[in-house]
Amino acid sequence: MASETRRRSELLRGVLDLCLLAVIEEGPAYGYEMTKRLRARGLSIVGEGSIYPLLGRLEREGLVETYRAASNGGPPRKYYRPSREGRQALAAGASEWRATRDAIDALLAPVNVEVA
Amino acid sequence: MSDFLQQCRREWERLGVPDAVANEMAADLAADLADAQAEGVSAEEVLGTGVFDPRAFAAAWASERGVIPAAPGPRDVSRKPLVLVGLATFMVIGLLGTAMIALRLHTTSMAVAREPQGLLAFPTPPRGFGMHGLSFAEQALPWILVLVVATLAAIAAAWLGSRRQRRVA
Repeated sequence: MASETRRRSELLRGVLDLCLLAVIEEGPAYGYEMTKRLRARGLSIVGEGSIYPLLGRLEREGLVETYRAASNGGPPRKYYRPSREGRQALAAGASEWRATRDAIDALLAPVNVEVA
Repeated sequence: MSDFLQQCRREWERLGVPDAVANEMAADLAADLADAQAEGVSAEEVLGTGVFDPRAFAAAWASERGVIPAAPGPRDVSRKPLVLVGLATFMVIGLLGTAMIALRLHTTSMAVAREPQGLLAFPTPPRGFGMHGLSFAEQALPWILVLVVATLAAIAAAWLGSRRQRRVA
């Protein structure tokens, strides 16, 4: 069980930047809102590194644009949305992911191991 | 959780993150954590493993955002050993000079002490010294003082330089 969690965690770590770009492609979001959207899809970041340094890198690399706006009754929040370069990176990353997934699916699909 | 934020602030301050940026990051983090708490969500759900190490979390965030002032460039670093070598050379020359003058002063005083002490006997001043009615000791004293002060200054500069280098490392 522990090894399954670790593998899932490692898989997510490799594509967390793509996941963040994907959730803000649906609509601009601030940090906590992104973790909620990820969690709603079964992607918890418990056991992962935080999304904040990752958002910092995406911002530094010009893959996201930010702006401040009032949230629901709370203080103004920093909203993120993908930039043009961010959308290109998301498209390229999604294509790469599908190719990798298909190759691994093709390898693992016929596996039918019975362990006594 | 305010303790977590305080530790982040201290780390940003230590790293030289500009106040405006540190304030912005702290405000965003505080608001997100307050939202999570209000919804009964654990801090780990928001911060991941970062919740266990605030300083590492704060440093990683600032570093990834590119808001930590750049470290000295390779040119500055390569100059430091040259400066230290120069100071060390100056120190050695200063110490040798002081020692040579002190030695000569000592031998002169010994020679003067060995001269016959008759009515017509005058101490023979060493060549180049004793002009204008000044003894060798009187002429050498300012040079000794200058060399001692310069040597002490060089030692102090080398010590301060090595301390700063250790702090940067």
